[in-house]
Amino acid sequence: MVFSIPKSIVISNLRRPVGLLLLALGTLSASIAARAPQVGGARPSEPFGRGGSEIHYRIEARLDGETKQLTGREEIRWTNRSGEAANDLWFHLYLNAFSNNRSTHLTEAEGKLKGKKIETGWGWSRVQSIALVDEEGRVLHDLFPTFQYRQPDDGNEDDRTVFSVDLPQPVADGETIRIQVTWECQLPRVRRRTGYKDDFLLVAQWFPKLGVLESGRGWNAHQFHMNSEFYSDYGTYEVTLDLPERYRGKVFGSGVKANSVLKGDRVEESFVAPSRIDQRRPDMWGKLPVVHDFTWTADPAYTEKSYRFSFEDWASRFPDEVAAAERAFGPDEKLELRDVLITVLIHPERADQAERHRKATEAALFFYGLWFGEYPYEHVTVVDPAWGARAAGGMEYPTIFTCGTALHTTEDMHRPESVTVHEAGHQFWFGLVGNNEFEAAWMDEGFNSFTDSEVMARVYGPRRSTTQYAGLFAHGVPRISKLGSGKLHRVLTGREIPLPFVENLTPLPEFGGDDDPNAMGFVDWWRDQPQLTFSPEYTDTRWADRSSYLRNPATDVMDTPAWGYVDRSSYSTNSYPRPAVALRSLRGLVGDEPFMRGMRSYAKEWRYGHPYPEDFFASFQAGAGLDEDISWYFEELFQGTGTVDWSVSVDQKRRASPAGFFQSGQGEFLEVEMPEDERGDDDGDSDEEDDRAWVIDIVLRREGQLRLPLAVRMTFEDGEVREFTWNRSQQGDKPWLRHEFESSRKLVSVVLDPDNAYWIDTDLSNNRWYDEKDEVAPLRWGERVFSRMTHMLHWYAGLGG
Amino acid sequence: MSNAETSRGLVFLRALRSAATRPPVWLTCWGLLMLLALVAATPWFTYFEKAISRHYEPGSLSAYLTEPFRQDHASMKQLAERSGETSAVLALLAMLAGCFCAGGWLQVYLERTEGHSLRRFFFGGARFFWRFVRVLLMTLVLLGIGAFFVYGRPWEWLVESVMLGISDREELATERQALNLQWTQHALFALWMGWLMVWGDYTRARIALHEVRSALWNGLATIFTLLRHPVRCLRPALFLFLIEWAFLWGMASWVGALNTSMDAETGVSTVWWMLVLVQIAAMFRAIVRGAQLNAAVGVSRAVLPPLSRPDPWKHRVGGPGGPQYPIGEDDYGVSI
Repeated sequence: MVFSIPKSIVISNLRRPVGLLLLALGTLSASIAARAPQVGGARPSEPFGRGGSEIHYRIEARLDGETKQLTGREEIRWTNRSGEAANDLWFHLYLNAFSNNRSTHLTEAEGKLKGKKIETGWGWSRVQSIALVDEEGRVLHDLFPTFQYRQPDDGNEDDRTVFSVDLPQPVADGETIRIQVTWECQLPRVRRRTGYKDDFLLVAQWFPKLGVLESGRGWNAHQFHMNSEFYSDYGTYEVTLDLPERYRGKVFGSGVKANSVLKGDRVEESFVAPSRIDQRRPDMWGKLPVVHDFTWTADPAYTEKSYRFSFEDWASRFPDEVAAAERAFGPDEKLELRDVLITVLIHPERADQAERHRKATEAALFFYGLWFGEYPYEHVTVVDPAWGARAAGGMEYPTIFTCGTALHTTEDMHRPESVTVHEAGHQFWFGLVGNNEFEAAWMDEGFNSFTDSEVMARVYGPRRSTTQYAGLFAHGVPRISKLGSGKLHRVLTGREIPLPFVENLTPLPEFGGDDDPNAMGFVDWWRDQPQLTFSPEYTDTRWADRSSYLRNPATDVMDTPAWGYVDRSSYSTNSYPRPAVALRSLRGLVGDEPFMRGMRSYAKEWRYGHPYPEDFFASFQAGAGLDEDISWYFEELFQGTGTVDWSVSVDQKRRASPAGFFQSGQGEFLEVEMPEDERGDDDGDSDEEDDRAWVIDIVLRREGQLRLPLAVRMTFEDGEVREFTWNRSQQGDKPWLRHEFESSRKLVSVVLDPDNAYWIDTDLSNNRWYDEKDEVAPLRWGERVFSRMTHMLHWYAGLGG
Repeated sequence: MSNAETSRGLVFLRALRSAATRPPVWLTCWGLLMLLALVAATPWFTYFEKAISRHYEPGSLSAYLTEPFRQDHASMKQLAERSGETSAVLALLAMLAGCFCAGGWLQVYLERTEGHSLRRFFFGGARFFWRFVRVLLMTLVLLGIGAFFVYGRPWEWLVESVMLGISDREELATERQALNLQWTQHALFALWMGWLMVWGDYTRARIALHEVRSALWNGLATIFTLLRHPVRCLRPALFLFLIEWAFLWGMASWVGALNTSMDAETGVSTVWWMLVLVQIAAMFRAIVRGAQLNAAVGVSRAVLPPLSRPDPWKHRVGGPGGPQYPIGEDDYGVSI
C-alpha cells in the first residue's frame, strides 16, 4: 500500500532516560538472541510470497499480576525480501486501539465493544526506546528521535496504533538488520480479542510488531480498525514471560513451551514458535514452517487436557472423502497428514466440553488438511475463555485459538463446535495462507466460512434450533414468538401497566428484552410448553451461509478493505457468508474435482505467503486445470455487486381437440363439434384417461445482472428425465427463455439447478414446479401454530381465573 | 365443608373428580380458547398453502421448514409480526374468558347443580365477571410489583451490588454462578406467580362464597387467610399443579415423538394425531382449572368464618315465601 503523507507527526513524550536505560539493560541478554535459528537459511524452497520478508522476534516480558501492566523488550531480526530498499520501519501498536474513546477502533465502534460502552479497563502500549543493534546487542543507532505516530488510513491524530522510525541508511533487498525495542503496556479488560478478566489473560497483539514491506507498495501497516484484523510477516518467535507464581504451569502460547523456571514468587515460562523440531521439519510440500504472530494465555483455573490427532482415525471414518480427494488431486499428491498434539485449556465448569473441542479441532485438521495440505506444526492449543471474557473467544492466532463457550449446549446445536471448527480452520486460511486481513478480510474469513460449513455438514449434520429458557435449551422454535412489540400490545398482554406517577409496571417482564436469548425464565417455559407446541427446525450450515449473504447481497463489492464497507453489517456479509456462497457456487460452475484442485493449488502456492485477490484468481484458474477462462466469474462475483434470481413457470394442458369451423381443401368451412367431455369447465389438465397430447409451456426467467449457465431438469410421469442448459450467452440475449413442446406423457416436475450448484440465487422458492401439490405441509405447520396458540391462550386465561 | 376437615389430603382428588364430571363446563372453557386459537392459526394455514403449493417437492417440508424456505419467505416474518399483534388482542380476550369461566365454575360449584350446569355456568360467568376482572387487574399489578423487586433495581442494589459486590454479572467468577443467580431470580418470580395464582383462586372463591363485591377488600382478606392456613390452602393447589405437570409431560413426550418423526413417509394422519393430543392436553388443563377453583371453594368453606350480616328474619316469625308474623306486633304481611 502506498501511504499518503501523514497529516500530523507526533513525537512521543516518552521518558527518554528510562528508555535508554532499558535499552542498555537489554543488550545484556542479546547474546541469547544471537543463537536464534537463521530463518532465511537452508530452506528447501522459497517459502515467501509477495512482499514477505524474513523475521525473527525474541521477546522478554514481565507482567505485574495486580495492575496487569507488562514491560517488555524485544529484538527483531529482519531480512528485507521486498525487492526494494527500506528507508524506514513501520510498526503496529495494536493495544492503543483500546487506549481512549477517540482511537480509530473505538470511534468506528461508537465507543462500544461487544455491545458495552467502554468506560473503564483501558489498555495502551508505549514504546520506551528503539534502536538498531548489532549481533551482540550493542546499540548502533538510536532510532527514537525519528519516532512518529502514523495514521495512514484516516488521519485521526488520536489514533496511536501505528508508528514509524527512519532508518539512518536504506536497508537493501536481502540485507538483515536487528532492531531492539523496549516498551510497556497496560492490558485492557478484555472486551475484544485481548486483555484480562480477573486472573484470566489472553494476551494478543501485545508487542510492537513490524508491518509488512511490500514490493512496489511500501510499508503495509494499517491502523487497527473496528472491523480489521491483522497482517504481518512470517518468521519465528522466542518468547520468555515472567509472571506471578500462581500462573506456574498455567501459561500457554503459540508454538510449544520450551522451559519453565520458578524464581521465588515468580515463574519464567519460555516458548518457541514454531517449535524447534517444526522449524527443521519440511512440511508435505517441502516448506519449513513459520508463523506470523505470537499470542499467549494464562489462567490459574485452566484444566489442561491433551489429545493426539491421527489422520488414520479420521480417514477410516470418512473413506469417501479421502477417495474423492485422491481422485481430484491424483495419485502423486500426498494426502496423509502428520499427527498433531491438541491441548484443550478448559475451565472446570465446562470440563465435559473438552472432548467436543477435541473432536471439532480434529475435524478441522482432517478436512482442511485433506483439502488444503497438512497442518505443519506439532501442536495446537484450544482455549476456552473464562466467564466474563467471552469477548476473547472466537479468535485465531498461529497454533493457538479461542473458542466460543456456553453451558448446557449439545453437539447438535453446533455450540461450541461451529466456532471451534471455524477458529481451527483459521490455522489454514490466515495461519498458513497469510493474506492481508486489513485489505481483503474475505480471503481468510470467507474461505474459512466456506470450509467450516462444509466440515460441519459432513461431521455434525444440520444444526438443531433451540429456544433458551434461563440458560437451558428447549428443542424447537415457536412459530409465533412475540405478541406484538408496541406499547398497546404490551399493555394488552400484561407486559406493561401504564400507571400515572409510577414507573411502568411489567407484570410479565421480557427478561432482558425481546432479543436477549436469556430473556426466558421458568414462567415462560410453562407458558410456552415447548415440547407440546414448538416446531422442530434444523439448518444446514451451508444454506445458512446463503441466508446470511442475502441480508446484504449487493451493497458493497466484496473485494473492499475492512474499514471501507458502508457499515459493520456489510463488512460481515462481504467477509464471511458472501465469499462462502461465491466459492460454493464456483464449485457448482467448474465441478467438484477442478474446484478442489484449484483451491489446493492456491493453498500450496501461497503457503507462508501474502496473496492478494488476483493471486487467488490466477492460482485457482491454473490449478483447477480448466480449459475455459473463468475470470468473468471472479470479476462479477468477487469484484462486482451483481445478483441473480432465476424462476420457472409451467403451463401444462391437454391439446384441445379441433372444434369450430375448419377450411377444407376445397375452400369450404366445415364445422367440427367439440367433444362432450371437453365442454364446460374442462381446463384440459385432468389426469383422466385421454389420448390427447400434453402441451407443455415452460418459461424461465432471470432477474439480476449475473449470468451463469443454468441446468434445467424435467421429469415425466413415466420417470424419464430430460435436461438442458440455459447458457450464459442465451441469458445475455434475453432475460427469459420459453421451452414449449408436446408430449404424450405428463410432466411431473421442472427443477432449475437440480444439483444445487448455485447457492447464490436470491430466491429459490420459484426454482421448482411440481405437478402435485404438497397437501401435508400446510396442515402440518398450521397445526403447530394452532397448538402453540391454544396453550399460550390457556396460560393467559389462567391469569383471569 | 366438614368432610374437608376429616380428609384434607384428598381435597385435590375430589376437586378433580368434581370438575371432570362436568364435561359441558370444561368443554365450553376449552372451546372458547380453541376458537380464539383458531383465529390466529387460520392465516398461517392459508399462508403455507399458498407458499408451498407446487413450489416444493411433496413431503420435502414435512419434517421441518428448511433454511432456504425460511429465507425465501421473508414475508413469514411479517406474518409472524401481524399474527403476534392479533394474538395480543387474543391474549386479552383469553384473560377475560378466564374471568368468565371462573365465575361459571364457581356458580356451578356453589349451587351444586347436577343436571343444568351449563346454564348455571353462563349465569355465574356473567354474574361474577366484573368482580373477577378487578381480581385480574389486581393480579397483574401484584405481578408487576413482584417483577420490580425480582428483576428491577431492588434486586440490582440489594443482591448484586450489596451482597455480591458486582455491577455486572460478567464480574462473577464462573458461568455457573451467573446462571445460579439468574435461576434464583426466575425461581423467585415463578414462586411469586404461583402464589398469586392461588391467591386469585381463593379471592374469587371468597367473593362468590360470601356474595360480596369488593375485590380489593377480599383480596386483602385472602392474603391473611393464606398466611393463617398456608398448608391447607396451598397443598391442593400444589398437588393439582403437579398432576397437570405430569399429564402435560406425558402428552408432550408423545407429541414430541410424533413431531420429530414427521418426514415424507409419515402423512397427514400423524398431523391429526398431534392435533388431537395437543387439544386433549388443553382440555385437561381446563379440567385442572376447574379443579383448582373447586379446591379453593372446598378449603374456603372450611377455613372461612361465616360472614356476619343483619338477619332480616330476626324479628319475624315465618320464612321467605310464606306468611310472616312480627314478634310483639299486631300487623302481618305476606312476603312475595
